[in-house]
Amino acid sequence: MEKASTLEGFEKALFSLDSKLSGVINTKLEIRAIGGFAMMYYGIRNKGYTIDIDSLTYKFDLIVSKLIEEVGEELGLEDDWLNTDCAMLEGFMNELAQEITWRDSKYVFKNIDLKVPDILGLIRSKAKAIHDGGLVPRSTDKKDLIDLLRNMEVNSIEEINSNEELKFIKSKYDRCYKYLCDIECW
Amino acid sequence: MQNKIYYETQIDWDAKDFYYLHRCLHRLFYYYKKYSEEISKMNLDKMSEETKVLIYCIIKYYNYDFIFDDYSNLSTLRDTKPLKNKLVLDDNVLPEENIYKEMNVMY
Repeated sequence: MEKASTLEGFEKALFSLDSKLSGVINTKLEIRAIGGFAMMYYGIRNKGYTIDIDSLTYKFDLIVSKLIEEVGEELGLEDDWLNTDCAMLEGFMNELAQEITWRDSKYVFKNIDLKVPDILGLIRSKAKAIHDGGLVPRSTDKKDLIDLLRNMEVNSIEEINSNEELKFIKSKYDRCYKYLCDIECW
Repeated sequence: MQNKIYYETQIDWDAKDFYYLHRCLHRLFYYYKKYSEEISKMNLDKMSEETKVLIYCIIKYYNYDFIFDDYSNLSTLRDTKPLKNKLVLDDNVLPEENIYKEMNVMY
Protein backbone atom coordinates (compact mmCIF):
# COMPACT_ATOMS: atom_id res chain seq x y z
CA MET A 1 0.00 0.00 0.00
CA GLU A 2 1.48 3.29 -1.09
CA LYS A 3 2.25 5.91 1.54
CA ALA A 4 0.65 8.67 -0.47
CA SER A 5 -2.56 8.69 1.49
CA THR A 6 -1.01 9.49 4.86
CA LEU A 7 -0.66 12.91 6.38
CA GLU A 8 3.09 12.36 6.56
CA GLY A 9 3.15 11.60 2.85
CA PHE A 10 1.44 14.86 1.99
CA GLU A 11 3.63 16.81 4.42
CA LYS A 12 6.69 15.46 2.65
CA ALA A 13 5.22 16.47 -0.69
CA LEU A 14 4.41 19.98 0.52
CA PHE A 15 7.92 20.51 1.85
CA SER A 16 9.36 19.22 -1.39
CA LEU A 17 7.20 21.65 -3.33
CA ASP A 18 8.21 24.45 -0.97
CA SER A 19 11.84 23.75 -1.74
CA LYS A 20 11.27 23.71 -5.50
CA LEU A 21 9.39 27.02 -5.34
CA SER A 22 12.46 28.91 -4.07
CA GLY A 23 13.53 31.50 -6.60
CA VAL A 24 10.65 30.58 -8.90
CA ILE A 25 7.80 32.66 -7.49
CA ASN A 26 7.76 36.17 -6.04
CA THR A 27 4.94 35.80 -3.56
CA LYS A 28 4.02 32.84 -1.39
CA LEU A 29 1.86 30.19 -2.95
CA GLU A 30 -1.54 30.40 -1.34
CA ILE A 31 -3.06 27.04 -0.40
CA ARG A 32 -6.41 26.81 1.35
CA ALA A 33 -6.60 23.09 2.05
CA ILE A 34 -10.12 21.83 2.29
CA GLY A 35 -11.59 18.35 2.26
CA GLY A 36 -9.77 15.13 3.04
CA PHE A 37 -6.39 16.64 3.83
CA ALA A 38 -7.94 19.01 6.38
CA MET A 39 -9.72 16.06 7.99
CA MET A 40 -6.46 14.13 8.20
CA TYR A 41 -4.78 17.28 9.58
CA TYR A 42 -7.31 17.30 12.44
CA GLY A 43 -6.80 13.61 13.06
CA ILE A 44 -10.37 12.68 12.28
CA ARG A 45 -8.95 9.86 10.23
CA ASN A 46 -5.26 9.12 10.24
CA LYS A 47 -4.96 7.40 6.88
CA GLY A 48 -6.72 6.89 3.65
CA TYR A 49 -9.01 9.84 3.53
CA THR A 50 -7.86 11.32 0.28
CA ILE A 51 -5.45 10.97 -2.55
CA ASP A 52 -5.05 14.67 -3.09
CA ILE A 53 -5.09 18.07 -1.43
CA ASP A 54 -7.95 20.24 -2.61
CA SER A 55 -7.17 23.94 -2.43
CA LEU A 56 -10.00 26.45 -2.41
CA THR A 57 -8.03 28.96 -4.42
CA TYR A 58 -7.76 30.07 -8.01
CA LYS A 59 -6.12 27.76 -10.50
CA PHE A 60 -2.36 27.40 -10.09
CA ASP A 61 -0.29 28.84 -12.90
CA LEU A 62 1.62 26.64 -15.31
CA ILE A 63 4.97 26.87 -13.52
CA VAL A 64 3.46 25.85 -10.20
CA SER A 65 1.42 23.07 -11.83
CA LYS A 66 4.58 21.68 -13.41
CA LEU A 67 6.36 21.65 -10.07
CA ILE A 68 3.41 19.92 -8.44
CA GLU A 69 3.55 17.29 -11.15
CA GLU A 70 7.30 16.93 -10.64
CA VAL A 71 6.87 16.32 -6.93
CA GLY A 72 4.14 13.83 -7.73
CA GLU A 73 6.44 11.88 -10.02
CA GLU A 74 9.28 11.86 -7.52
CA LEU A 75 7.16 10.74 -4.58
CA GLY A 76 4.78 8.37 -6.35
CA LEU A 77 1.74 10.60 -6.00
CA GLU A 78 -0.92 11.54 -8.53
CA ASP A 79 0.14 14.29 -10.97
CA ASP A 80 -2.52 16.53 -9.45
CA TRP A 81 -1.93 15.58 -5.79
CA LEU A 82 -2.44 19.29 -5.10
CA ASN A 83 -5.20 20.86 -7.16
CA THR A 84 -7.90 23.50 -7.24
CA ASP A 85 -10.66 21.33 -8.72
CA CYS A 86 -13.12 22.05 -5.89
CA ALA A 87 -12.80 25.79 -6.47
CA MET A 88 -14.04 25.27 -10.01
CA LEU A 89 -17.35 23.96 -8.72
CA GLU A 90 -20.12 26.49 -9.03
CA GLY A 91 -20.44 28.68 -5.98
CA PHE A 92 -17.62 27.12 -4.02
CA MET A 93 -15.16 29.93 -4.44
CA ASN A 94 -17.62 32.78 -4.25
CA GLU A 95 -19.76 31.51 -1.42
CA LEU A 96 -17.64 29.20 0.62
CA ALA A 97 -14.23 30.84 0.82
CA GLN A 98 -15.72 33.93 2.45
CA GLU A 99 -17.74 31.99 5.01
CA ILE A 100 -14.94 29.81 6.29
CA THR A 101 -12.62 30.74 9.15
CA TRP A 102 -9.12 29.90 7.96
CA ARG A 103 -6.43 28.93 10.39
CA ASP A 104 -2.68 29.04 9.86
CA SER A 105 -1.30 25.51 9.57
CA LYS A 106 1.35 24.25 11.98
CA TYR A 107 3.91 24.00 9.16
CA VAL A 108 6.64 26.55 8.53
CA PHE A 109 7.22 26.99 4.82
CA LYS A 110 9.37 29.53 3.00
CA ASN A 111 7.26 29.78 -0.11
CA ILE A 112 3.85 28.44 0.84
CA ASP A 113 1.04 30.05 2.82
CA LEU A 114 -1.03 27.05 3.88
CA LYS A 115 -4.24 27.49 5.81
CA VAL A 116 -6.89 24.99 6.85
CA PRO A 117 -10.53 25.65 7.76
CA ASP A 118 -11.77 25.15 11.28
CA ILE A 119 -14.06 22.15 11.87
CA LEU A 120 -17.18 24.24 11.32
CA GLY A 121 -15.75 25.36 8.01
CA LEU A 122 -15.26 21.76 6.98
CA ILE A 123 -18.82 20.95 7.98
CA ARG A 124 -20.02 23.92 5.97
CA SER A 125 -18.14 22.71 2.88
CA LYS A 126 -19.58 19.22 3.20
CA ALA A 127 -23.11 20.48 3.83
CA LYS A 128 -22.84 22.62 0.71
CA ALA A 129 -21.48 19.72 -1.33
CA ILE A 130 -24.36 17.48 -0.24
CA HIS A 131 -26.90 20.23 -0.90
CA ASP A 132 -25.45 20.91 -4.35
CA GLY A 133 -25.26 17.19 -5.08
CA GLY A 134 -28.96 17.11 -5.81
CA LEU A 135 -30.74 13.77 -5.89
CA VAL A 136 -27.58 11.69 -5.45
CA PRO A 137 -24.96 13.52 -3.42
CA ARG A 138 -21.52 11.97 -3.25
CA SER A 139 -21.38 9.15 -0.76
CA THR A 140 -17.94 10.35 0.30
CA ASP A 141 -19.34 13.76 1.24
CA LYS A 142 -22.04 12.13 3.32
CA LYS A 143 -19.50 9.92 5.08
CA ASP A 144 -17.25 12.89 5.78
CA LEU A 145 -20.08 15.02 7.15
CA ILE A 146 -21.20 12.26 9.50
CA ASP A 147 -17.63 11.79 10.73
CA LEU A 148 -17.26 15.53 11.30
CA LEU A 149 -20.50 15.72 13.24
CA ARG A 150 -19.51 12.72 15.34
CA ASN A 151 -16.21 14.48 16.03
CA MET A 152 -18.27 17.36 17.46
CA GLU A 153 -20.26 14.78 19.44
CA VAL A 154 -23.36 15.67 17.47
CA ASN A 155 -25.11 12.40 16.73
CA SER A 156 -28.68 13.22 15.80
CA ILE A 157 -30.87 15.71 14.01
CA GLU A 158 -32.19 16.83 17.40
CA GLU A 159 -28.68 17.75 18.48
CA ILE A 160 -28.17 19.67 15.25
CA ASN A 161 -31.38 21.59 15.83
CA SER A 162 -30.29 22.57 19.33
CA ASN A 163 -26.78 23.63 18.29
CA GLU A 164 -26.51 27.34 17.42
CA GLU A 165 -23.31 26.84 15.44
CA LEU A 166 -24.97 24.31 13.12
CA LYS A 167 -28.15 26.24 12.38
CA PHE A 168 -26.72 27.23 9.02
CA ILE A 169 -27.26 23.68 7.75
CA LYS A 170 -31.03 24.13 7.85
CA SER A 171 -31.06 27.74 6.75
CA LYS A 172 -28.63 27.49 3.85
CA TYR A 173 -28.32 23.86 2.79
CA ASP A 174 -31.80 22.45 3.09
CA ARG A 175 -31.18 19.36 0.95
CA CYS A 176 -28.39 18.37 3.33
CA TYR A 177 -30.64 19.13 6.27
CA LYS A 178 -33.34 16.90 4.77
CA TYR A 179 -30.81 14.08 4.37
CA LEU A 180 -29.87 14.36 8.04
CA CYS A 181 -33.57 14.44 9.00
CA ASP A 182 -34.14 11.28 6.99
CA ILE A 183 -31.40 9.34 8.75
CA GLU A 184 -32.24 10.92 12.15
CA CYS A 185 -29.18 9.67 14.04
CA TRP A 186 -25.67 8.40 13.31
CA MET B 1 4.94 4.85 -12.52
CA GLN B 2 3.93 2.60 -9.65
CA ASN B 3 1.39 -0.18 -9.86
CA LYS B 4 -2.21 0.95 -9.79
CA ILE B 5 -3.77 0.45 -6.40
CA TYR B 6 -6.69 -1.47 -7.86
CA TYR B 7 -4.27 -4.18 -9.04
CA GLU B 8 -2.40 -4.50 -5.73
CA THR B 9 -2.35 -7.75 -3.80
CA GLN B 10 -4.67 -7.37 -0.85
CA ILE B 11 -3.14 -9.90 1.52
CA ASP B 12 -2.89 -8.29 4.98
CA TRP B 13 -5.11 -5.38 3.99
CA ASP B 14 -7.28 -3.97 6.72
CA ALA B 15 -10.44 -1.87 6.58
CA LYS B 16 -8.45 1.35 6.20
CA ASP B 17 -6.69 -0.01 3.12
CA PHE B 18 -9.96 -1.00 1.48
CA TYR B 19 -11.45 2.38 2.48
CA TYR B 20 -8.60 4.10 0.68
CA LEU B 21 -9.01 1.84 -2.37
CA HIS B 22 -12.67 2.78 -2.43
CA ARG B 23 -11.79 6.47 -2.25
CA CYS B 24 -9.45 6.09 -5.22
CA LEU B 25 -12.00 4.16 -7.25
CA HIS B 26 -14.72 6.60 -6.25
CA ARG B 27 -12.70 9.49 -7.61
CA LEU B 28 -12.04 7.68 -10.87
CA PHE B 29 -15.63 6.72 -11.53
CA TYR B 30 -17.41 9.74 -10.08
CA TYR B 31 -15.33 11.92 -12.39
CA TYR B 32 -15.46 9.33 -15.17
CA LYS B 33 -15.11 11.92 -17.94
CA LYS B 34 -11.84 13.21 -16.53
CA TYR B 35 -10.46 9.71 -16.02
CA SER B 36 -12.01 8.11 -19.09
CA GLU B 37 -8.71 6.98 -20.54
CA GLU B 38 -7.62 5.24 -17.39
CA ILE B 39 -11.02 3.58 -17.01
CA SER B 40 -10.88 2.30 -20.58
CA LYS B 41 -7.58 0.56 -19.81
CA MET B 42 -8.71 -1.22 -16.67
CA ASN B 43 -8.26 -4.98 -16.73
CA LEU B 44 -10.82 -6.76 -14.58
CA ASP B 45 -8.83 -10.01 -14.76
CA LYS B 46 -6.12 -8.41 -12.66
CA MET B 47 -8.53 -7.32 -9.93
CA SER B 48 -9.78 -9.08 -6.83
CA GLU B 49 -13.46 -9.84 -6.36
CA GLU B 50 -13.56 -7.18 -3.66
CA THR B 51 -12.22 -4.53 -6.02
CA LYS B 52 -14.72 -5.44 -8.70
CA VAL B 53 -17.57 -5.28 -6.21
CA LEU B 54 -16.46 -1.82 -5.08
CA ILE B 55 -16.43 -0.57 -8.67
CA TYR B 56 -19.86 -2.09 -9.20
CA CYS B 57 -21.18 -0.38 -6.05
CA ILE B 58 -19.89 3.00 -7.15
CA ILE B 59 -21.41 2.67 -10.62
CA LYS B 60 -24.77 1.53 -9.29
CA TYR B 61 -24.85 4.08 -6.43
CA TYR B 62 -24.79 6.95 -8.93
CA ASN B 63 -26.94 5.18 -11.52
CA TYR B 64 -24.02 5.23 -13.90
CA ASP B 65 -25.09 1.97 -15.58
CA PHE B 66 -24.17 3.44 -18.96
CA ILE B 67 -20.55 2.80 -17.98
CA PHE B 68 -21.15 -0.95 -18.49
CA ASP B 69 -22.01 -0.17 -22.12
CA ASP B 70 -19.61 2.65 -22.85
CA TYR B 71 -16.55 0.78 -21.58
CA SER B 72 -16.43 -2.67 -23.16
CA ASN B 73 -13.66 -3.72 -20.78
CA LEU B 74 -16.11 -3.30 -17.89
CA SER B 75 -19.19 -4.87 -19.47
CA THR B 76 -18.99 -8.09 -17.47
CA LEU B 77 -19.21 -6.08 -14.24
CA ARG B 78 -22.91 -5.75 -14.94
CA ASP B 79 -23.40 -9.28 -13.56
CA THR B 80 -21.39 -8.79 -10.38
CA LYS B 81 -22.71 -10.78 -7.45
CA PRO B 82 -22.54 -9.87 -3.74
CA LEU B 83 -19.44 -10.89 -1.84
CA LYS B 84 -19.62 -14.16 0.13
CA ASN B 85 -17.73 -12.60 3.03
CA LYS B 86 -18.59 -9.16 4.36
CA LEU B 87 -16.11 -6.47 3.31
CA VAL B 88 -15.66 -3.78 5.94
CA LEU B 89 -14.62 -0.36 4.73
CA ASP B 90 -15.77 1.43 7.84
CA ASP B 91 -17.45 0.29 11.06
CA ASN B 92 -19.42 3.56 11.08
CA VAL B 93 -21.77 2.63 8.29
CA LEU B 94 -23.80 5.20 6.39
CA PRO B 95 -27.23 4.93 7.99
CA GLU B 96 -29.13 4.31 4.76
CA GLU B 97 -30.17 1.42 2.56
CA ASN B 98 -27.97 1.31 -0.49
CA ILE B 99 -26.20 -0.92 -2.99
CA TYR B 100 -23.23 -1.38 -0.65
CA LYS B 101 -25.35 -3.29 1.85
CA GLU B 102 -26.84 -5.40 -0.92
CA MET B 103 -23.34 -6.36 -2.07
CA ASN B 104 -22.23 -7.21 1.50
CA VAL B 105 -19.99 -4.17 1.90
CA MET B 106 -20.00 -2.21 5.16
CA TYR B 107 -19.57 1.41 4.15
